[in-house]
Amino acid sequence: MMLIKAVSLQKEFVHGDNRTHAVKDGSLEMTNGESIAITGPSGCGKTTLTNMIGLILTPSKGELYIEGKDAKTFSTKQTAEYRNKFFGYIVQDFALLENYTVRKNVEIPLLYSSERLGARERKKRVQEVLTKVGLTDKINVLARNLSGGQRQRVAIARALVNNPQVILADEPTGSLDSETGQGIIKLIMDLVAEGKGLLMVTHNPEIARQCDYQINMIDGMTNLMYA
Amino acid sequence: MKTQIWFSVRDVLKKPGTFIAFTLQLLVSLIFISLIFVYFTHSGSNFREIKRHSDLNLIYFQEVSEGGHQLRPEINENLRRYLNAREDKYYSLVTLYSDEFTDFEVLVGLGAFTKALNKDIRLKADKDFNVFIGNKVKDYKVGDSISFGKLERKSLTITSRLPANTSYLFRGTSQSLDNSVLILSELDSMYHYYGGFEETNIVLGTHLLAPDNAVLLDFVFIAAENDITLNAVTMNSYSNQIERNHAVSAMFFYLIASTFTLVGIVVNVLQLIEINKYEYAIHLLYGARIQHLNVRTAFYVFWIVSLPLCIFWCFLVWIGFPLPSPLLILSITILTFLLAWVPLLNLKHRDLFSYLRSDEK
Repeated sequence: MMLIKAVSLQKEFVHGDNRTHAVKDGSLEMTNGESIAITGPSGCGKTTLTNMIGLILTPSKGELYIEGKDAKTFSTKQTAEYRNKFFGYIVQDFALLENYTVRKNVEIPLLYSSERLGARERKKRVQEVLTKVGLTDKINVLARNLSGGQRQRVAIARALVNNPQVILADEPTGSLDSETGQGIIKLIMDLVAEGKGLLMVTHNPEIARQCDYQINMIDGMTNLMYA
Repeated sequence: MKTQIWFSVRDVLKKPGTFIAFTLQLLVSLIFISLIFVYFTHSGSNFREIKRHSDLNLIYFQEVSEGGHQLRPEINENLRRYLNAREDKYYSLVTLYSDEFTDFEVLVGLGAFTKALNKDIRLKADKDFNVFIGNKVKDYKVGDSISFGKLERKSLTITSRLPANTSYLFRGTSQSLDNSVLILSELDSMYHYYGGFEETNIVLGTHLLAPDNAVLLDFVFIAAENDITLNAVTMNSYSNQIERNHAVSAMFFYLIASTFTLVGIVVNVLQLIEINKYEYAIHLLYGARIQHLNVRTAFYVFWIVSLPLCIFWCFLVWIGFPLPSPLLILSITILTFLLAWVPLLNLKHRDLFSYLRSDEK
């Protein structure tokens, strides 16, 4: 099933008189269980493209289809629901709330779930996902007291807790040493093996090679490198 | 909604000191409001009283010279003669101070003092003294006696109780008699029982009823002979002007104080948004909508507003001035929306996702 189809996405940022064309032509397609790595030099528009696909940024031009539906037609509520249920975001530098416990951090997507889960059910789901990433013993630890690898696992648990169909990972190993990074990539690839889609921004060619497709972005334009 | 309310409570608990400071600030502001409300209520009754008495063309006096005078006996005699000759054309007032009367004031109205009152009272013509008790005086009742006099003691019987909200017009303001005892007497009786101890106050409290220039000048000269320099004030024009000036000043100070408080709260909420922007961005990323953040912010304002308003409401109930609870709810709602308006606009126009970038944390 076609999960994502992006056709010639463009993004232009306007700051006063300055116009920056961050993405000039971003196109890709993703079906169930596919993994795509987006590589390219800094500032080439990788994160901007991922953010457009993840409904965080609105494209200036182009077409984006999520599960075959035109994203332009989504209401604010539908967009939020897709962010909540369809995508699982793993953000650069983990994006954890330092003064929240692991449980509170991982629970955030469940708070906005259309399923309207009670506290007990939320706790159960958090425990399940923490088991998956191997962090059950840290459930009540404050995020600021975790190591880099543990923090990234919490970020992954948070991305997975609502059982999303597509994982959007922006430099998931950027802040980690190579050994920890490999562990995290293995964890993410296991999820792809379970049938989830993966769109990952990375500078690391080794990691990019583990994906089904690699898209190289140069000067805001996507080029499929290999399949 | 429940979750956002809980988050707003967390926001309050993040900085309890700020919350307490704003609660106190808002309370002070509300006290200002009530004082100004009382002032305007009083002011309104002043206006009404002045208008009611306008056909009397009252003139009263302000002392320009320094106080602390003792009138010389010969001047004293002139004053007596002058006022006695115009019994129906003046009124004045003396307050009696005595250990006997501690819970209420005892006032002696001289001359045509009944004309200063806002209500008609019946006088007993056969009596030198007519004694009235204010509507709220509990210690005495009609028929009781109070003692009067310093040089010579006399027991006065209370003739009747004044109607509720009886007041008199004195030096441009309306004063309540509800908690006072009023003795209507003549100047000569006062001199007889007390001697010449309150002449200065009698002079300064004298109101002349529609005097012509000669009469007015005579009075000013009598005072001037004793080094009391007086300015004559036409109540009808001057009081209105003073009331207007006071009203403008009160409004001005109130506006400054309340603006200061309200702006302080708005700035505080904007600071909260600034502090929470990263957290908001994370919530948006995982499915929150801007409406959720609006609810959270509005409830934060709600907590800041509702506590002082509830305290103030309880205070009003306690002092016997209960306001209906729907009015309290309405006030809280209006104030919450008023104060949350700017922060919510700020929230709406922010690109919160940009704060997820590591250099924007």
